[in-house]
Amino acid sequence: MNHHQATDEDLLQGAYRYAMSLSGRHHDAQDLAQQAAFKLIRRYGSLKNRSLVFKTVRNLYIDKYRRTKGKEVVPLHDAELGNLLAFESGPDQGDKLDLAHVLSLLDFEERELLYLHYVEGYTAAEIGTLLKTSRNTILSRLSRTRKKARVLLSEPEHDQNHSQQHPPQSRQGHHD
Amino acid sequence: MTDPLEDKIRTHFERKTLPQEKVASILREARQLRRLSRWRTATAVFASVLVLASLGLALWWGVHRPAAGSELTAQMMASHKAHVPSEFDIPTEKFVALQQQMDKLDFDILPSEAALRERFDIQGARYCKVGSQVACALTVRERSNNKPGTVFIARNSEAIQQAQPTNATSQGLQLEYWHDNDRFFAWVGEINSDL
Repeated sequence: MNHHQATDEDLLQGAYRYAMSLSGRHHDAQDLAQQAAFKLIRRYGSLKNRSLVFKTVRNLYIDKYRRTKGKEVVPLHDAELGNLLAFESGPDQGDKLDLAHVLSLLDFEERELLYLHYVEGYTAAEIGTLLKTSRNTILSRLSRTRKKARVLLSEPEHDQNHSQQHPPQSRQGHHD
Repeated sequence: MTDPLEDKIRTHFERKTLPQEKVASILREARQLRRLSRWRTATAVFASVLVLASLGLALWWGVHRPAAGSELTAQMMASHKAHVPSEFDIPTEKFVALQQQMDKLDFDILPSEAALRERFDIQGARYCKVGSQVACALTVRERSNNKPGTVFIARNSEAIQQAQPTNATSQGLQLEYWHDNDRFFAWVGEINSDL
């Protein structure tokens, strides 16, 4: 895990990616990242650290999309609905449409778990702290989500214990 | 051994970036908003201080207004006590005669209400000061109880107008103020006089 001092630019990119994991839509994610930046910079003069940025983005997402526009975050278990929403993968879409589609079939909490664990390298305990949930709950949800994603991707099961205690190597430091 | 799912997910999200120009523009706007917000806060604080200062001033004014009345009261009580009943500038018993003879006054001394004119028997009048103004002091007795007293009449000025109409007692004297159009009237008499 990196311990470098993240710049506001790095943190804003992190906020955008995390928002993408929550909302799955470029414009919504950009909007969330922007609002979080406005809120934090107005208050602290900078984005401070990754953990605060994630909390802010999450709260904004919950407030804006779950409470007031609940329809927009209805879990996308329904494949047909998932297809309709056509999860955006940004400007460099490349050959990842399959995964994008699979992610669109997960609900935002599942996508968030996968993002925090695989991309940010958070441990179950750290995710639990961020989401105010116990480590064991995170572990079981992570396991279920992985299984679900693999099934949807038609991938064979990988080592089940791989990431339960040791998170994958992340390029993003989150102890800024 | 690397988990293929992990690789796919990481690659998927790592490809998602905001254009540098967008990042720069968001941060620039956020910093501008912070500056604006600080100005607003400073303005709000300044406005609050101003409002509090105004309230403080109003409170101070409210507290000190009666003091202006108190100064008049003290002045009239002293004038009442110092007066020797036989020493009058105008020894007369009629309001109308007083009006004609007290030519240093630029205001009418006749009370507009007949009841007030009927309330007192006048023994005489003298010039005096109420506040910094030339006024008249009538030495009177109340017809109803024969109680002696002094009626002060002055033209209303800014300072005199601060004396609110009141009925009070102080230092063994009864005080009664009222305003009659552009004039100020005050009656000062002993609480327990031997008549």
